[in-house]
Amino acid sequence: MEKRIVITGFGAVTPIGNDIETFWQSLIEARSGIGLMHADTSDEILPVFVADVKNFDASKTGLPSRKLKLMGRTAQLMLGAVAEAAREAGLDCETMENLAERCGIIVGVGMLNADITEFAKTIIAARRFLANETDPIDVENYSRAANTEMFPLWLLRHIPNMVAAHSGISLKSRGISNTVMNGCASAAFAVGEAARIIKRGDADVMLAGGVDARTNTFAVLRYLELGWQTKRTEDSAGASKPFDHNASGFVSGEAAGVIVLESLEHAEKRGVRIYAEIGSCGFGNDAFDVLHPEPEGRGLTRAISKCLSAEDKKLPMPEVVFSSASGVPEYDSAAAQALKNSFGEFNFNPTVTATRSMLGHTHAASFALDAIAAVKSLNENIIPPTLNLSNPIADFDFVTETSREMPISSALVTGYGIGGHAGAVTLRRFEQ
Amino acid sequence: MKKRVAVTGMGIVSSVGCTIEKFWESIANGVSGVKSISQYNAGGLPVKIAGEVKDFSCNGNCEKLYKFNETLSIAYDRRTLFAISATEQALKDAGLNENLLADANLYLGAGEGQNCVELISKLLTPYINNENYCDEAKLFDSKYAGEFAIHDQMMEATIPASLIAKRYGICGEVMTSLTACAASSQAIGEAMLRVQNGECTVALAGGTHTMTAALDVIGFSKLSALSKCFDKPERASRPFDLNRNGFVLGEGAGMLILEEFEQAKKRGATIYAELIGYGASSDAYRVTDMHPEAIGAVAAIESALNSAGIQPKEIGYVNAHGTSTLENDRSETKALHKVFGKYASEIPVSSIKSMTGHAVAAAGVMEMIASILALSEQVLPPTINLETPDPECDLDYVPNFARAKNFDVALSNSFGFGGQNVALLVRKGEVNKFL
Repeated sequence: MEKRIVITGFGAVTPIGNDIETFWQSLIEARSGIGLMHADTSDEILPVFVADVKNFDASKTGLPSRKLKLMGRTAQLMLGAVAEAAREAGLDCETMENLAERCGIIVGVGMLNADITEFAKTIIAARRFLANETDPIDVENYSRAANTEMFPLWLLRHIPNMVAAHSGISLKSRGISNTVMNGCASAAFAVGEAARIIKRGDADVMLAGGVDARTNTFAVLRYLELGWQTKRTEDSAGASKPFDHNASGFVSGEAAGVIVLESLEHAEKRGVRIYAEIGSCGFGNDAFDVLHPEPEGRGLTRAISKCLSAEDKKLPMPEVVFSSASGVPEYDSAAAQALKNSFGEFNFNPTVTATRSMLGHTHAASFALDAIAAVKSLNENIIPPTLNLSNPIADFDFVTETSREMPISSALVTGYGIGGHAGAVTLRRFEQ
Repeated sequence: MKKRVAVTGMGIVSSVGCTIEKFWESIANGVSGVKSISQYNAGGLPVKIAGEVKDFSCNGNCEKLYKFNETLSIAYDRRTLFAISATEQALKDAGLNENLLADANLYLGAGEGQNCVELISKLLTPYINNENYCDEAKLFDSKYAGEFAIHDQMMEATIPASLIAKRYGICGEVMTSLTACAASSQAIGEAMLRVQNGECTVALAGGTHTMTAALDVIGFSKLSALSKCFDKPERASRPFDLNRNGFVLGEGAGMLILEEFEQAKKRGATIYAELIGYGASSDAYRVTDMHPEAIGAVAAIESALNSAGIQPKEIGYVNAHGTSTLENDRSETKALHKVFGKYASEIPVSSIKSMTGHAVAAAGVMEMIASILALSEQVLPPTINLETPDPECDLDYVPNFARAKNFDVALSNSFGFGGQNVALLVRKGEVNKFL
């Protein structure tokens, strides 16, 4: 008999709320988290939209500033989400003392861009080594300057697995820790890894989720140049248009989201609240151009098909899909194709929504936020809407404009993006 | 019922050789790959040595340029080329057909690419005034924005794995994990379990990393992690020696083909070794230090032994993490004492990082390959530069010279920065003296 895995907690720090309740209320009230990157715009500085986390105070995690200084934005955001999830799931000090080796964490994370301020300091210092002020800076004079100018422990902010390491230290979890870097679908793979680890008996409790912080200048510049970020300059709330014919790119965002996975047996023994059950997981890769999707969404089709095929046939199909569509036309189109192809096999037409219309694209965190939204939907029978969807590119039953109340027993959450990585996970209303 | 997992192909790119044969020849003869840094002018660096890959040429008809669109393209970076070369070697070795590859999984412990300081300087310079201020909002208009964008995007850790998936048509689950110095060992362990549990019959598992750029050297040097004896580069990495004073950065890639044992036998593949155990844990102690009592390392090794159903005394050789830092080598020794008890002194332990340098995310797979070769050759690679024993490191470290030994099972340890510990167990295959 395979182990059943349930969700016993969650935490989130997002562009529309820095805790689960605020996040969820914003979602169902269709509040956009998108705003201006630079407060002052002018003829020279055109408006650029981002979905950033507002008023996040890392010191509320209880850590002293000397410790917070060693962390990048990703680690700080994640600690906020982990603290809430641990509280929700009743993972207090005493519980953790007993769990220790039986609890681990898997974090999906993206690259944290170089810090422009650190670079600027170094470049100014490097200029002193140039014979002529107009000479280019080379590795030698740059290194000379960086060696004295850069914050000595900057590397610790940028090593990706530091997010999981800091989280593990804050929780005192000594089980398996892993850091997944699979682009926009990272958190889907993190959830898959965590579920496997519990299933094979290597842990009783696993935290899994994702974090990314891509509202800094380097990140936004990258996405503007690659044409993935929208160049729209008016109406921030209308900027992100997943599945719409007029979509012109995503709005880059930042967030952290984490869910607590636990074996049913262990959750029942602890007597904690069970929010949902993990159904099946499926994964795939486009095996196509790394920065363009396979037009039919081959990887995502495989992931969803694998996931749906692994489901217990006696259970209903997922009534709702939380889609990865983020407003990048070629990826939205591939995602729509994949849904059509995979659900077509089962002759089923699910309701579809895309939260990135409000959240912007939070990259490695995005799947985690959708998973949390799906769990809330299962508990409250409300589906958050896809904003700005008036000319859909496909004929799904989209939830548009306002949230929709309907009974939901199962939801499919998908992750898909660069690198052709795709993941699909079903979440079910928990029943004995 | 757990399936058995065979290793049917191997490929490597390292500072001591870019083929399996050359790699073994070097480590069996105590040849170091640590030299003065030569890829770029290291004159401004606090540490000027590394285990760089030399004489590398990407074999096969490897594309070397990624074209994003009509205006943006970029050359593949070193770590990507290394990874492709290691994969090419391993797949050729294993002789897998396309159908088996289409359903395969790929699990890579891969680092991010190297920042290009010249490019970032060109981009930022016009917008910096002398008050440490950069007018960031205007950067979007820079003529270097496009060049920066594609470079920055292709530095993402996921790029090598995704390019490999495309090149070889791997449509199954493709994973990139980055648990620092334990990454490729963790990749091998998790990939092994996917084959054991029947999720796939073929998994490619390995790692790639090139943390030898100027900023990497400065970053680690500031953490006081690197050896500063660079007058004699090849003597700098000296695991377990009393006079060790840090590790030496290295680079490279390695790839293993893991295959369900019966399938491998049926298609007549060469079975180099059998992966039998994997254990992982975290210290939850400090991000930069190992737990002083090595509790995480002990937990990982014990969990690997349990998963394989192996007794400590059955281990014939330990391929150590052995970084050459004061702290790692002492706590690793402590961990081995705790796990092996009275047998500890009888089990030889060696660190090939004394020769390869520390290839970070790629270190684990290189060391697994060394362990597999040691099993098939029945020869233990040495720990070189071990001249003055450290009283707190009192095991048999196979000092300076390779040694013949008959044994069946090897343990390979990897402990990552951030407190992540991985242990792998591998059993001798059906190959004797295949080199």
